[in-house]
Amino acid sequence: MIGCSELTRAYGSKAVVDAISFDLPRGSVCAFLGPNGAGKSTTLKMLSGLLRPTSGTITVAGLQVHDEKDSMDLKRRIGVLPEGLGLFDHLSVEEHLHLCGPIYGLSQVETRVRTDQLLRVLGLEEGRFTQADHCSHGMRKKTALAMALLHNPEVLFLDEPFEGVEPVTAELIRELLNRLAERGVTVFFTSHMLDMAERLATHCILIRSGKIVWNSRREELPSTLSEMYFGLVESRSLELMPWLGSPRS
Amino acid sequence: MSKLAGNHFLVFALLLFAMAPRSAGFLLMLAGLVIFFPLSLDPLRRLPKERLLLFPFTTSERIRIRILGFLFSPVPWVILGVPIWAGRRYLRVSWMLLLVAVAANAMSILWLRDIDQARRWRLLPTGSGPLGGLVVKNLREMFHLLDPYAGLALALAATVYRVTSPKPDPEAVLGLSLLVALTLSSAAQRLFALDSKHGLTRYALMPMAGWRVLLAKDTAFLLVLLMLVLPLNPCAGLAAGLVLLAFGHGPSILDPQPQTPWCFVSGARGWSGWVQVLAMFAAGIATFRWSPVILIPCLAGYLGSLFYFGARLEGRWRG
Repeated sequence: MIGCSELTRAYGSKAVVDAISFDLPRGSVCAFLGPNGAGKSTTLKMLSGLLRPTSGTITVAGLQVHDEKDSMDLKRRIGVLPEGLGLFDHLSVEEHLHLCGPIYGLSQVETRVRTDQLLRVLGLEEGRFTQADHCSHGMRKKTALAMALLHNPEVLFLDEPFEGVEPVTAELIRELLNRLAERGVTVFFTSHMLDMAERLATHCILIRSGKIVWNSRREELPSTLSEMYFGLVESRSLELMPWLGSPRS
Repeated sequence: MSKLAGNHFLVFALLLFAMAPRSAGFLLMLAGLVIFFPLSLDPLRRLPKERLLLFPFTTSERIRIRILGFLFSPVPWVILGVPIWAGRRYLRVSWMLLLVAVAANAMSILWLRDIDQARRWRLLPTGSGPLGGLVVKNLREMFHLLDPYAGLALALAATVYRVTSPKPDPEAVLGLSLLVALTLSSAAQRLFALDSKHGLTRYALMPMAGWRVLLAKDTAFLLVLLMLVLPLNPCAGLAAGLVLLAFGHGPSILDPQPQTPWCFVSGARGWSGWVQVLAMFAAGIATFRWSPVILIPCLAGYLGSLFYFGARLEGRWRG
């Protein structure tokens, strides 16, 4: 359902994403993990068509991403929670969904029914009339997630869906994504929350400095995801700063 | 100040003042507002509020920072400088400027305090269909700029002249219509100014052709312009609007610049602004002098620009 081959994005001579390849079948949930600046969001942008790769090919839902003639069809079939959330400051939470429904070909009645359900499930009912620039970060993230789900996409690309969201809703989102995957929706998400990723993902890809350092199904992991992550991705020793925590003069 | 120098209406008012000071009176008053309104807003508003509160300042230090911020703003110096430079009989101007500054800040504070801002915008009809919602959103964004309000003040004054004058001069009405269009010309060069980069990402994700996104922007722009010139010369106004947009698509898409809400728009620098404004005047005058048929080439030029820059917009979305 999602496949990429030798995918590279370089800025000048520096490759932010360096010849990565993977294939994900329909209905899989892939956790794409790595430290800040490893190339997670850049990869997600390339997979969702927001950024052109320097080289390599990407196929999503049988369509060539970045192929002009497939572009509109692809956009209708994917749902994206982008890094910056992609909200309009002057629209309320509810208006974002009402705006998007007709653009994805939903009738007004259908848009309203789905909007009400999504707002209820994501705990956004109380703030539905709040303008995006007055929303908390969590509310903004949930609004963007609702926009990604509204048109019932076949593939979901989610950039850090659990970060900044309160635990109850985070758990609800996890459950929701699990159910979607059971119904055949393919989910590709980035996260720093390893326990959440471990409970949700069917596939785990670890990335460091733009290169994939691990790619397998979750049950093929030789140890827990946290142990794998700290072993393969991040191992930094703490530099003690003598002035920090010392008695203040 | 450098941003304001990009506002076509302000530049035009200053040029007119240089050539015919007496006839530039009303425009200069509006131009004065152009400069004064955003300038008189609290200079500390640009600092993150939380950061300012977290810094370990004492109350007296906070007061000193506020006074310093106030002194570094050009507004008090302008208010004090007018009577000193122009004589005591201009003291009334200073009082008026002070009033404008207080009003600007009061409006800004009242606006920011109202959390449920969406409520007031619900007065606008909800758009239907894929384009309708975007048009309404774009209309809202336009009403967050000061340019349409300057146009409204000018259009109201021109309408009063047209209604009350026993024999209004059609050429004067034409000139006023084009001046109203001029107040919006900078906004036509910054169609995506209030969308922010996050809004631009959303457009890129939508299954919608670039020209349709642009059309939604243009429809909102033309609706505002036609509303303002309807009692004056709508035909010339429409021709002017189409030309403004045809020339405005380029800078809007190729050189997008962020814009602060509740300020006047800073248009594109260099020749593109001059060409846009000259073409707008030419189209408006030609429609009036020759025939409304001139609207046809204006529309053709507009459509050419719409589809060409729509394709360029899609190119930008693909990274």
